[in-house]
Amino acid sequence: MAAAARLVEAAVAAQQANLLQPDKVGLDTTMWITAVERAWALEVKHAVESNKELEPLSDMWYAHHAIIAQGNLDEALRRIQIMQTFRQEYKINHSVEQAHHYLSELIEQQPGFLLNLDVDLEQQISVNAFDVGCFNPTKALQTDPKNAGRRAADCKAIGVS
Amino acid sequence: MICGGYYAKFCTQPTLAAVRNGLLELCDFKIFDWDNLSSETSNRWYAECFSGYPVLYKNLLAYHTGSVANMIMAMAKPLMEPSMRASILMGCQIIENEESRTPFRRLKDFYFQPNAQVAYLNLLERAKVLIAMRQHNEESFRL
Repeated sequence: MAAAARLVEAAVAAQQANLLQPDKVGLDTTMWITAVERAWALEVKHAVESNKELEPLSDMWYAHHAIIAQGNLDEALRRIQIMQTFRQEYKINHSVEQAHHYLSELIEQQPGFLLNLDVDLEQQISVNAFDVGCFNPTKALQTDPKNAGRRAADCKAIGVS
Repeated sequence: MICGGYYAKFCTQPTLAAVRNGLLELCDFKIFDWDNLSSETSNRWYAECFSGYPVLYKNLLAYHTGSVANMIMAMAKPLMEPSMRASILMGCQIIENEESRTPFRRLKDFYFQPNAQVAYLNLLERAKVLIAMRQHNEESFRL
């Protein structure tokens, strides 16, 4: 109870200081953004929506790009353009099935290379671990969707035409 | 393979707090050699994806770096993202306690427990959970 009360107190204090704006999830602080980050994100959103060449993104992606670009709109738009082209070329759909497929392929094709991917949910710190001596660049290009034909069943399963 | 690399990063960003706190990247160079390099692969992946992928590198810890790794890193640094360049720490060693102060332990000895097969199954399950978390947050978050 005391811990919960302290959390509420901290949340109210943060809001009063106009540092953080809670989202609709309540006190889950992992999705909070500061007022400044929100302003950056809205700027990015407006710029993308008024650019006919860019596809609209989710509000989380706008916030994500804004946090990384730290108010540099041109930098955010540069990244958004590159990632849009990448998503289109490789038919990335961010589904659990597609992620599982491509990670399994990576593990199978490059045994020992990917050691870990994880997030410490307490600290909200992400980790990627690799054994780079296990990376085989020749094999890596062989199964590239751009270089090699994919089996029809695989393509259908992961939404790749 | 480039898509696997993309998802390895994407899975580690399920929340805005994780995006803001950054990514800790651990790389073991113990058996790294020239054979592990390809300018075609690295140039293409950098141009197509990783030059634009929105990630903040908190730290890149390079373990067991030898002369080849040192040379490659020195050449690659000017091409890296500023946050990645600033985060690199070369020559790391795995030390659990004084007795374990040995250059022979590798990162895989820690991660592949009880064995590589089980570790990979766990990794794939974890990835599913993290992606589902991201999906939920994308659906519910509004600016």
